[in-house]
Amino acid sequence: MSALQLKTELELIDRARAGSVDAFEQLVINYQDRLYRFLLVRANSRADAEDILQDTFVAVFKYLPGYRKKYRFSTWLFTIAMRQLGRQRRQYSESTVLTDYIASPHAGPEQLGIEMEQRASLWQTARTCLGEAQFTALWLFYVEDMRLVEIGKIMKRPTTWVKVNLMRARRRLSKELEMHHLKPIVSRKEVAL
Amino acid sequence: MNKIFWKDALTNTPETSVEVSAELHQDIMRAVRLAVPAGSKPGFKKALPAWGAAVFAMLVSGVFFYHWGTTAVLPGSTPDQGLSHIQNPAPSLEQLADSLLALSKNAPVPEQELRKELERLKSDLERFDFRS
Repeated sequence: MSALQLKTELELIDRARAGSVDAFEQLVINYQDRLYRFLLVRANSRADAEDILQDTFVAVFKYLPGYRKKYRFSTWLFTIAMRQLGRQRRQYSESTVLTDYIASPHAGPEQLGIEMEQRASLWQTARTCLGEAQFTALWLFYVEDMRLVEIGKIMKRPTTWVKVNLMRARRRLSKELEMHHLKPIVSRKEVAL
Repeated sequence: MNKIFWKDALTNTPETSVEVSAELHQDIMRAVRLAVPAGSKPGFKKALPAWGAAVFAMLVSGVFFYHWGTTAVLPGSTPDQGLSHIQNPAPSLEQLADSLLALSKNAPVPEQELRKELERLKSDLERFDFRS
């Protein structure tokens, strides 16, 4: 994030703190996709991910006066999302089912076919062979591009733990890829091209 | 498998290209707006931090207990001055009967009626006397 973007974000936070819902909406727009992807691969279903996303933003708005600027806003946001996810899991202690998070609700048969094919993605493999914590650390590191310290803060673990588990996750994943002769698939955008 | 491999493999996936629909965004914002109570002042929390609220609460409770303590003490110049209601026992029925008798001597009420009343009180006393 550039200095200008950071300044704009801090301004938005200040305005939202003062009660501006419009400023908060801009913050939601900036982060909703990232947060949704993070929740989608970890929640039981698409509906659960959407509920948690909504609850997270409501909690963020509610507790915004308590946000301390010495932490990055994204770190704080993901910490709240993790907490909401944990709460939801405690409420419905069901086994994790990865069924409908890629297929869009309005997808036609042709699109659905492509999406079914894409399920052999690396994250699907990671979901099955890695533990909850390793999966989260891997996602935050690669997809969210977060630093080890930030991941540690979100997961309430020391930085060394994050480092060691990232290494273990990569090792486990490469073993899995070798065993099943899997190749990481390309994104939907690249498929279209 | 180097770092670049992992970065490419883990960021170019269908999961990392999902976006929030306009409908879901509207739902989120609706929930946020509903979470704001009508007529609330978001600036209040900022103006009065948690420690300020704690100090205020202590002051209010201090004033309350001080007020309660001063009103509970009996005024006057009797030897039990300074004792609270709890420490000062209520007068017994015998004392009340004596004071009524003393009052009857000075009162313009007919003596006959007062004596009747006194007799009634005495019989009541005998009936409810624990010692008998």
